[in-house]
Amino acid sequence: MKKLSILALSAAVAAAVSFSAQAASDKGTIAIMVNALDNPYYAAEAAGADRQAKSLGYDTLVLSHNEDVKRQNELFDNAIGQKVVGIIVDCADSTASVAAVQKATDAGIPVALINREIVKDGVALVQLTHNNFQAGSDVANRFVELMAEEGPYVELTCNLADNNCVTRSKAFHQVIDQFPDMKMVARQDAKGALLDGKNAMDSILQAHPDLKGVICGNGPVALGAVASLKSAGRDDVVVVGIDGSNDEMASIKAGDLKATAMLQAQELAVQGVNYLDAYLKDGSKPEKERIMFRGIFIDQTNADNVKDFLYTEK
Amino acid sequence: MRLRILALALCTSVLCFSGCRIVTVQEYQQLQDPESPLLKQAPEIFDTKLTTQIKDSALPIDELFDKLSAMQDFAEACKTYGYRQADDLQCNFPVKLEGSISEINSKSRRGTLTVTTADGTAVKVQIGPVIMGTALRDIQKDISYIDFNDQTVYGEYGERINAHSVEHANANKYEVGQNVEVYGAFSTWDFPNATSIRVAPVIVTIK
Repeated sequence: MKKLSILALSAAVAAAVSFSAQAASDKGTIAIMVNALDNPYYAAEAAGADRQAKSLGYDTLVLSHNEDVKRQNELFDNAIGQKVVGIIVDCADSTASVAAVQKATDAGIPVALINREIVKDGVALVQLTHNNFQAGSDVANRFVELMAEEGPYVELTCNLADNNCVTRSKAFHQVIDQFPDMKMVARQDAKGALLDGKNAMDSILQAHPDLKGVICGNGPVALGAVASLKSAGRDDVVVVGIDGSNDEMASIKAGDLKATAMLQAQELAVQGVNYLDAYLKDGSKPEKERIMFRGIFIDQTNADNVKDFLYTEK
Repeated sequence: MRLRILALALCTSVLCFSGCRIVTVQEYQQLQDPESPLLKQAPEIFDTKLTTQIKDSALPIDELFDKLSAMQDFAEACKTYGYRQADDLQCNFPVKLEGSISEINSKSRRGTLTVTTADGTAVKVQIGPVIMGTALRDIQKDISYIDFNDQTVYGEYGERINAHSVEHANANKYEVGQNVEVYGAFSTWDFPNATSIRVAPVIVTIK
């Protein structure tokens, strides 16, 4: 099911790309660069940006750098060579990407960063990011409540090389550490991936069969933990995560995953395109360069409102 | 030997008079990444600006609910009686509560007092030691995320504001039946009702 939905989303993005290549526009082309198009989160970012750019009359070029700074640099060179009018990028690295963004800006091409920020101000047109701290705090608060403020728990981080994951972990601990009866018995970096999450949970569960809860840095890791606990017949363990993919929604509705925070991937991408469009029209810039979007807390009461990282009140 | 002493003296005088300063590793790290001054100022901001802002703008809870129930548009209601930094955030309402303590929950670390007004409205007031949410941080009109530009530090600021609220609230000994006056704030996504809100206090006075 997960593979099917990823394939469908990727196919939609690919179809959009091929269509955009055919239909030339007077307004020019916006390059959209994300990490990997086979990941539902990044595919949703690309789809959101692509749809909005087209609705505003631009052609699009959707590309993935697979979190490879060198590849990203080549994509920037190509985009500059093709004289795109703007770039939307969820960048490969917060520090190393500064040079690539600077290169495009120097070439007169505005860059809107989405999701991952760069460390330097004044280089990009705008940097739109999720409030990972707020998302982490909201999820941790529910976790504490579901754990009745006590008991052994595990933290599976998403990828400690990613600053967003570090921020989420800090938010978890700022909340949970205020409850001395909650004891963290293990903490492991599950690299943001489902299989790593499952493997980590398998081994931790053997060492700590008494655990009551698992708090996870992202959705795939949480789903990996759920898979591990299900195969061990442990439906008594509370699992929460952050991201808000369709697969997480299915898990929440089934009662396996207890809560998550949906990151507004599509909304960020849409707004990024809007800022580029405004700049291209009359040179207007956003009031502030760094803008945060809240994570929307999701549990069984509102999981039906989420599809492809877009929240629609029903 | 004399040369060595001379060299040492020269080095010392260069260090003393050149404006150079020897620092510890910890001091060096702080110089590289200085703590936001607002973190240190959080208790002072709480005691002066925040308390004044809430006292000056708070409506008694029953009056606030009456006024809100007469409005249709929550965004407009927030603009009139509350405050939020952006439209997609929760609205924070300043509020005054006068009534008697009808229940005390000190079993949970998210402890509360239930205060029942003369009109019979029962509202929970957070007394900690853990305060949920960031109403007291987010209601501040002159301090926002842009003053920090760092999610973690902004979160830490909220935590320090909440910690000061707990300190104030726990200066009192509470008993069921006591009359109290509370000033504080609560956050909500939509039109509130008495059971859904949790007031974070800036002042709790036993009458």
